Amino acid sequence: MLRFLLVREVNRRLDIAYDYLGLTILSAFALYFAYLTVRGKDLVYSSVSLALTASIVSLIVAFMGYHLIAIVQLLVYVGAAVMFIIVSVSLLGAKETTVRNEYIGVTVALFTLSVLGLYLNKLYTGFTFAKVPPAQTISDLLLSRYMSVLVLIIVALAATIIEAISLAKR
Amino acid sequence: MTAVTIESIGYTITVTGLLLITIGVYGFAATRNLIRMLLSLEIVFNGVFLVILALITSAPSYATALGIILISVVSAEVAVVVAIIAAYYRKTGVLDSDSAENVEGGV
Repeated sequence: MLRFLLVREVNRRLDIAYDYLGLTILSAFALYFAYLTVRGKDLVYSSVSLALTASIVSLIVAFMGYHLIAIVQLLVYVGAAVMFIIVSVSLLGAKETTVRNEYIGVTVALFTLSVLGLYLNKLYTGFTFAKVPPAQTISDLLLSRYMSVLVLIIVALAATIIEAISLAKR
Repeated sequence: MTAVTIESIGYTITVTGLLLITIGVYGFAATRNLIRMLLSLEIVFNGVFLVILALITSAPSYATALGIILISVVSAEVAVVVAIIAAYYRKTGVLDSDSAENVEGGV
Protein backbone atom coordinates (compact mmCIF):
# COMPACT_ATOMS: atom_id res chain seq x y z
CA MET A 1 0.00 0.00 0.00
CA LEU A 2 2.82 2.36 0.97
CA ARG A 3 4.66 1.52 -2.23
CA PHE A 4 1.54 2.19 -4.29
CA LEU A 5 1.10 5.62 -2.67
CA LEU A 6 4.78 6.41 -3.21
CA VAL A 7 4.61 5.48 -6.90
CA ARG A 8 1.45 7.55 -7.32
CA GLU A 9 3.08 10.58 -5.70
CA VAL A 10 6.20 10.23 -7.87
CA ASN A 11 4.04 9.97 -11.01
CA ARG A 12 2.06 13.05 -9.97
CA ARG A 13 5.24 15.06 -9.44
CA LEU A 14 6.66 13.85 -12.75
CA ASP A 15 3.45 14.96 -14.51
CA ILE A 16 3.74 18.43 -12.97
CA ALA A 17 7.45 18.59 -13.93
CA TYR A 18 6.66 17.68 -17.57
CA ASP A 19 3.81 20.23 -17.61
CA TYR A 20 6.18 22.86 -16.23
CA LEU A 21 8.84 22.05 -18.82
CA GLY A 22 6.32 22.32 -21.67
CA LEU A 23 4.94 25.56 -20.29
CA THR A 24 8.43 27.06 -19.96
CA ILE A 25 9.24 26.23 -23.59
CA LEU A 26 5.92 27.71 -24.77
CA SER A 27 6.49 30.86 -22.70
CA ALA A 28 10.01 31.29 -24.09
CA PHE A 29 8.69 31.03 -27.67
CA ALA A 30 5.84 33.46 -26.91
CA LEU A 31 8.30 36.04 -25.54
CA TYR A 32 10.70 35.54 -28.46
CA PHE A 33 7.97 36.08 -31.08
CA ALA A 34 6.64 39.07 -29.10
CA TYR A 35 10.13 40.57 -29.25
CA LEU A 36 10.23 39.92 -33.02
CA THR A 37 6.84 41.63 -33.36
CA VAL A 38 8.15 44.75 -31.67
CA ARG A 39 11.67 44.81 -33.12
CA GLY A 40 11.27 43.10 -36.52
CA LYS A 41 12.64 45.00 -39.52
CA ASP A 42 9.70 44.40 -41.82
CA LEU A 43 6.09 45.18 -40.88
CA VAL A 44 4.70 42.09 -42.62
CA TYR A 45 7.07 39.75 -40.78
CA SER A 46 6.24 41.54 -37.52
CA SER A 47 2.54 40.90 -38.17
CA VAL A 48 3.27 37.21 -38.82
CA SER A 49 5.21 37.15 -35.53
CA LEU A 50 2.12 38.56 -33.80
CA ALA A 51 0.06 35.69 -35.25
CA LEU A 52 2.61 33.19 -33.90
CA THR A 53 2.63 34.90 -30.46
CA ALA A 54 -1.17 34.81 -30.28
CA SER A 55 -1.20 31.14 -31.35
CA ILE A 56 1.27 30.22 -28.60
CA VAL A 57 -0.73 32.25 -26.06
CA SER A 58 -3.82 30.26 -27.07
CA LEU A 59 -1.83 27.05 -26.46
CA ILE A 60 -0.94 28.30 -22.96
CA VAL A 61 -4.62 29.15 -22.39
CA ALA A 62 -5.57 25.59 -23.43
CA PHE A 63 -2.86 24.28 -21.11
CA MET A 64 -4.50 26.16 -18.23
CA GLY A 65 -7.74 24.27 -18.90
CA TYR A 66 -9.69 26.89 -20.88
CA HIS A 67 -10.07 24.87 -24.08
CA LEU A 68 -13.09 26.80 -25.36
CA ILE A 69 -11.32 30.17 -25.05
CA ALA A 70 -8.26 28.74 -26.81
CA ILE A 71 -10.42 27.61 -29.75
CA VAL A 72 -12.19 31.00 -29.94
CA GLN A 73 -8.86 32.83 -29.78
CA LEU A 74 -7.40 30.72 -32.59
CA LEU A 75 -10.48 31.02 -34.80
CA VAL A 76 -11.59 34.60 -34.16
CA TYR A 77 -8.49 36.45 -33.02
CA VAL A 78 -5.68 34.75 -34.97
CA GLY A 79 -7.80 33.54 -37.85
CA ALA A 80 -9.69 36.77 -38.45
CA ALA A 81 -8.26 39.81 -36.63
CA VAL A 82 -4.53 39.15 -36.96
CA MET A 83 -4.95 37.83 -40.50
CA PHE A 84 -6.79 41.07 -41.31
CA ILE A 85 -3.74 43.01 -40.05
CA ILE A 86 -1.34 40.84 -42.13
CA VAL A 87 -3.38 41.23 -45.33
CA SER A 88 -3.85 44.98 -44.80
CA VAL A 89 -0.16 45.59 -44.12
CA SER A 90 0.81 43.49 -47.16
CA LEU A 91 -1.60 45.38 -49.43
CA LEU A 92 -0.57 48.80 -48.11
CA GLY A 93 3.08 48.01 -48.85
CA ALA A 94 4.21 50.72 -46.47
CA LYS A 95 7.81 50.81 -45.30
CA GLU A 96 8.87 51.79 -41.81
CA THR A 97 10.83 55.03 -41.89
CA THR A 98 10.49 56.32 -38.34
CA VAL A 99 13.41 56.27 -35.90
CA ARG A 100 12.97 54.47 -32.59
CA ASN A 101 13.31 56.29 -29.32
CA GLU A 102 14.90 53.54 -27.24
CA TYR A 103 15.36 55.70 -24.15
CA ILE A 104 11.64 56.51 -23.77
CA GLY A 105 10.66 52.92 -24.61
CA VAL A 106 12.93 51.31 -22.03
CA THR A 107 12.00 53.86 -19.32
CA VAL A 108 8.25 53.41 -19.79
CA ALA A 109 8.60 49.60 -20.00
CA LEU A 110 10.64 49.40 -16.78
CA PHE A 111 8.16 51.66 -14.99
CA THR A 112 5.24 49.48 -16.16
CA LEU A 113 7.05 46.30 -15.16
CA SER A 114 7.80 47.54 -11.64
CA VAL A 115 4.30 48.95 -10.97
CA LEU A 116 2.44 45.94 -12.43
CA GLY A 117 4.85 43.52 -10.74
CA LEU A 118 4.14 45.01 -7.32
CA TYR A 119 0.40 45.12 -7.98
CA LEU A 120 0.19 41.54 -9.29
CA ASN A 121 2.24 40.32 -6.35
CA LYS A 122 -0.57 41.55 -4.10
CA LEU A 123 -3.37 40.27 -6.35
CA TYR A 124 -1.97 36.77 -6.88
CA THR A 125 -3.68 34.36 -4.51
CA GLY A 126 -2.99 30.95 -6.01
CA PHE A 127 -3.36 28.84 -9.11
CA THR A 128 -5.26 25.70 -10.00
CA PHE A 129 -5.91 24.14 -13.38
CA ALA A 130 -9.32 25.43 -14.45
CA LYS A 131 -12.04 22.79 -14.50
CA VAL A 132 -14.18 24.35 -17.18
CA PRO A 133 -17.71 22.94 -17.49
CA PRO A 134 -18.83 21.62 -20.90
CA ALA A 135 -19.56 24.01 -23.77
CA GLN A 136 -23.31 23.52 -23.22
CA THR A 137 -23.07 25.16 -19.78
CA ILE A 138 -21.02 28.06 -21.13
CA SER A 139 -23.44 28.67 -23.99
CA ASP A 140 -26.37 28.52 -21.52
CA LEU A 141 -24.57 31.12 -19.37
CA LEU A 142 -23.97 33.34 -22.41
CA LEU A 143 -27.57 33.00 -23.57
CA SER A 144 -29.12 33.68 -20.16
CA ARG A 145 -27.07 35.75 -17.75
CA TYR A 146 -24.86 37.45 -20.35
CA MET A 147 -27.54 37.78 -23.05
CA SER A 148 -27.49 41.60 -22.92
CA VAL A 149 -23.69 41.64 -23.25
CA LEU A 150 -23.89 39.20 -26.16
CA VAL A 151 -26.44 41.38 -27.97
CA LEU A 152 -24.25 44.46 -27.38
CA ILE A 153 -21.24 42.61 -28.83
CA ILE A 154 -23.20 41.50 -31.90
CA VAL A 155 -24.40 45.09 -32.52
CA ALA A 156 -20.88 46.46 -31.92
CA LEU A 157 -19.33 43.94 -34.33
CA ALA A 158 -21.92 44.72 -37.01
CA ALA A 159 -21.29 48.46 -36.56
CA THR A 160 -17.55 47.79 -36.73
CA ILE A 161 -17.84 45.98 -40.05
CA ILE A 162 -19.89 48.83 -41.55
CA GLU A 163 -17.51 51.44 -40.13
CA ALA A 164 -14.40 49.64 -41.37
CA ILE A 165 -15.86 49.20 -44.88
CA SER A 166 -16.90 52.86 -45.11
CA LEU A 167 -13.49 54.05 -43.86
CA ALA A 168 -11.61 51.81 -46.26
CA LYS A 169 -13.78 52.87 -49.25
CA ARG A 170 -13.22 56.60 -48.63
CA MET B 1 16.69 21.46 -5.55
CA THR B 2 13.19 22.96 -5.31
CA ALA B 3 10.32 20.72 -6.38
CA VAL B 4 8.07 21.93 -9.18
CA THR B 5 4.55 22.58 -7.89
CA ILE B 6 1.31 23.85 -9.39
CA GLU B 7 2.16 27.21 -7.82
CA SER B 8 5.31 27.44 -9.99
CA ILE B 9 3.13 26.86 -13.06
CA GLY B 10 0.81 29.71 -11.97
CA TYR B 11 3.78 32.02 -11.36
CA THR B 12 5.29 31.17 -14.76
CA ILE B 13 2.05 32.01 -16.57
CA THR B 14 1.63 35.29 -14.65
CA VAL B 15 5.27 36.31 -15.23
CA THR B 16 4.96 35.45 -18.94
CA GLY B 17 1.89 37.70 -19.17
CA LEU B 18 3.70 40.45 -17.29
CA LEU B 19 6.72 40.24 -19.63
CA LEU B 20 4.44 40.30 -22.69
CA ILE B 21 2.83 43.48 -21.34
CA THR B 22 6.29 45.00 -20.77
CA ILE B 23 7.47 44.14 -24.30
CA GLY B 24 4.28 45.61 -25.76
CA VAL B 25 4.56 48.81 -23.73
CA TYR B 26 8.21 49.16 -24.82
CA GLY B 27 7.22 48.77 -28.48
CA PHE B 28 4.37 51.25 -28.14
CA ALA B 29 6.52 53.90 -26.45
CA ALA B 30 9.65 53.47 -28.58
CA THR B 31 8.17 53.85 -32.06
CA ARG B 32 6.00 56.39 -33.89
CA ASN B 33 4.94 54.01 -36.67
CA LEU B 34 1.17 53.49 -36.47
CA ILE B 35 1.18 49.83 -37.59
CA ARG B 36 3.98 49.01 -35.15
CA MET B 37 2.04 50.75 -32.36
CA LEU B 38 -1.04 48.64 -33.16
CA LEU B 39 1.04 45.43 -33.15
CA SER B 40 2.54 46.42 -29.77
CA LEU B 41 -0.95 47.03 -28.35
CA GLU B 42 -1.97 43.56 -29.48
CA ILE B 43 1.03 42.12 -27.61
CA VAL B 44 -0.18 44.01 -24.51
CA PHE B 45 -3.65 42.50 -25.00
CA ASN B 46 -2.20 38.98 -25.13
CA GLY B 47 -0.27 39.63 -21.91
CA VAL B 48 -3.30 41.06 -20.10
CA PHE B 49 -5.38 38.11 -21.32
CA LEU B 50 -2.93 35.60 -19.84
CA VAL B 51 -2.70 37.46 -16.51
CA ILE B 52 -6.50 37.78 -16.16
CA LEU B 53 -7.09 34.09 -16.91
CA ALA B 54 -4.32 33.05 -14.49
CA LEU B 55 -5.79 35.20 -11.72
CA ILE B 56 -9.39 33.93 -11.95
CA THR B 57 -8.96 30.17 -12.22
CA SER B 58 -11.30 29.76 -9.25
CA ALA B 59 -14.31 30.86 -11.35
CA PRO B 60 -13.79 29.09 -14.69
CA SER B 61 -17.30 29.59 -16.14
CA TYR B 62 -17.16 33.35 -15.73
CA ALA B 63 -13.56 33.42 -16.93
CA THR B 64 -14.62 31.63 -20.13
CA ALA B 65 -17.50 34.04 -20.74
CA LEU B 66 -15.21 37.02 -20.04
CA GLY B 67 -12.53 35.61 -22.36
CA ILE B 68 -14.96 35.20 -25.26
CA ILE B 69 -16.29 38.75 -24.76
CA LEU B 70 -12.72 40.16 -24.57
CA ILE B 71 -11.65 38.44 -27.80
CA SER B 72 -14.74 39.74 -29.65
CA VAL B 73 -14.18 43.33 -28.50
CA VAL B 74 -10.47 43.28 -29.39
CA SER B 75 -11.19 41.83 -32.85
CA ALA B 76 -13.65 44.68 -33.49
CA GLU B 77 -11.08 47.21 -32.31
CA VAL B 78 -8.44 45.78 -34.67
CA ALA B 79 -10.75 46.10 -37.69
CA VAL B 80 -11.54 49.76 -36.95
CA VAL B 81 -7.93 50.78 -36.20
CA VAL B 82 -6.55 49.08 -39.33
CA ALA B 83 -9.22 50.81 -41.46
CA ILE B 84 -8.31 54.20 -39.94
CA ILE B 85 -4.58 53.59 -40.52
CA ALA B 86 -5.24 52.54 -44.15
CA ALA B 87 -7.27 55.71 -44.78
CA TYR B 88 -4.58 57.84 -43.12
CA TYR B 89 -1.81 56.24 -45.17
CA ARG B 90 -3.77 56.79 -48.40
CA LYS B 91 -4.15 60.47 -47.55
CA THR B 92 -0.65 61.27 -46.31
CA GLY B 93 1.63 58.57 -47.72
CA VAL B 94 3.32 58.06 -44.36
CA LEU B 95 2.62 55.99 -41.27
CA ASP B 96 4.20 58.38 -38.77
CA SER B 97 1.96 59.39 -35.87
CA ASP B 98 3.91 62.65 -35.40
CA SER B 99 2.69 63.98 -38.74
CA ALA B 100 -0.98 63.24 -37.90
CA GLU B 101 -1.54 66.70 -36.44
CA ASN B 102 -0.63 68.30 -39.79
CA VAL B 103 -3.41 66.51 -41.69
CA GLU B 104 -6.10 68.99 -42.72
CA GLY B 105 -9.77 68.02 -42.63
CA GLY B 106 -9.13 64.79 -40.73
CA VAL B 107 -8.76 61.32 -42.13
